Amino acid sequence: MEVEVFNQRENSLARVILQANEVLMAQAGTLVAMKGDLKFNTTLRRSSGKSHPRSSGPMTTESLFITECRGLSDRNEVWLAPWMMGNIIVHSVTEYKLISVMSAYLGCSGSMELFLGLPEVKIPNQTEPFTLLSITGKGQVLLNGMGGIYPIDVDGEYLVNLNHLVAFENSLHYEITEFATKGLSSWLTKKTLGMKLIGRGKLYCQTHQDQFWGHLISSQLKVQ
Amino acid sequence: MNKSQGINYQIENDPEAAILVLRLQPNQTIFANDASVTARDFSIEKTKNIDTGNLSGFQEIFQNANLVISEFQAVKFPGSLYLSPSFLGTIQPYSVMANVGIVVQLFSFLACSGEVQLKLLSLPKIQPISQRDSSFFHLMGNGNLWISFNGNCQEILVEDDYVIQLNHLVAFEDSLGYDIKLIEGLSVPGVHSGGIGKSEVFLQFKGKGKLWIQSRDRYALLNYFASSIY
Repeated sequence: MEVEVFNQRENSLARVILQANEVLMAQAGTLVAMKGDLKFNTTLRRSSGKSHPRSSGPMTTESLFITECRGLSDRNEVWLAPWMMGNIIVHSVTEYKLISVMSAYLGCSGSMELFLGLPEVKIPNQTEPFTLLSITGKGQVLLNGMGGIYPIDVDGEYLVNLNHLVAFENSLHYEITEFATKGLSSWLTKKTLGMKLIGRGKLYCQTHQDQFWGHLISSQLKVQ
Repeated sequence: MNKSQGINYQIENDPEAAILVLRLQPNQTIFANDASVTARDFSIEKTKNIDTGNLSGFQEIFQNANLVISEFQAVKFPGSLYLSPSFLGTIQPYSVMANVGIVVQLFSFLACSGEVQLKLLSLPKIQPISQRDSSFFHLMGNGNLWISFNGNCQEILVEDDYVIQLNHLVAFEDSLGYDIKLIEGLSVPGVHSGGIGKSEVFLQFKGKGKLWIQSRDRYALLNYFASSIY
């Protein structure tokens, strides 16, 4: 599997070249163009455990549609584009598995395994859907972010706003923390969720977050 | 500053909020999407609006899209015309040649020089699927054309065949033939995404020629906010 990212600065497109019997596991609905002899199969992946104490089964948000693209001839091309504005990065998984936010996942090579949800991550008073994916095996992973994605080589301790988190290597120890941000008035205190990462490893963050941006606009939208 | 076919132009794609500046000499004429014209010198006059009233079937699309194509001319003195697309993205220039025409998606058309013939076209094979997405401009002749893209532009050279998702298709040379391509296995049977714009429609292009795709879906933003409206 050979990946090339075009227009890396903004609104990137990714071209994946698949040889015979190579497989790309892409997020469903992101296929833009293709060439060659390809076979597709879309499945729904669900998390196995219960992540929310109040829910009786897996949350509906803890599922992901994956389209498997299998190359049947020598050289086949598949173009992928995420839905939102932002760029794409390619991360090579070699030693440590990669843990990614589900909304940031675009695709990975078929030799890898995908698992939904990390049972050990407990998010207090969860109101927003937030699911982590763990990607194991050896190969390349394509991630997309809202705005730009920037890598951080963590050595020690790092605190990330959960809304800006894209992915991190499993060599890092992680825990969810809550920190308070004060508004203009002292009585307006908002709790923000963050992730504390300790150790050595790669961390990817995004410059923007769609939850705040989306709420800002959608709160103004009304049914006519 | 670029010059071709007599029209000086400058494009600033910096990085996504694109702007096109056309510097017209006396008697030079261009056709432009009226809503995209942001500023113009006093010497540039809007000479006429292209009459779309007689084009049955297209009238509704023009009204819905708020699309008006106008003719602008530098009558006596040279002057500049500033154009910006209505969505974030980039602008790409294209030289229309006499031997090969270009077919451009209606909403992606920004401007063209006066020598280019502009014809409305409804692609018959797409029409039964979506009336709105089947509307294109067919441009022929010799002159300049400027196209806007939602996100970035990617040129693809088709040598035998290529399959493109309809919402990402912006333009193609008329030397290429196309057909609707049904691709199995792209969705789970019985599950409907419920989005606006049919994202599962793919076109198969055959022949030799170039085509251009945009890096973001035409209905991506609309679908993102759709859940807040309905």
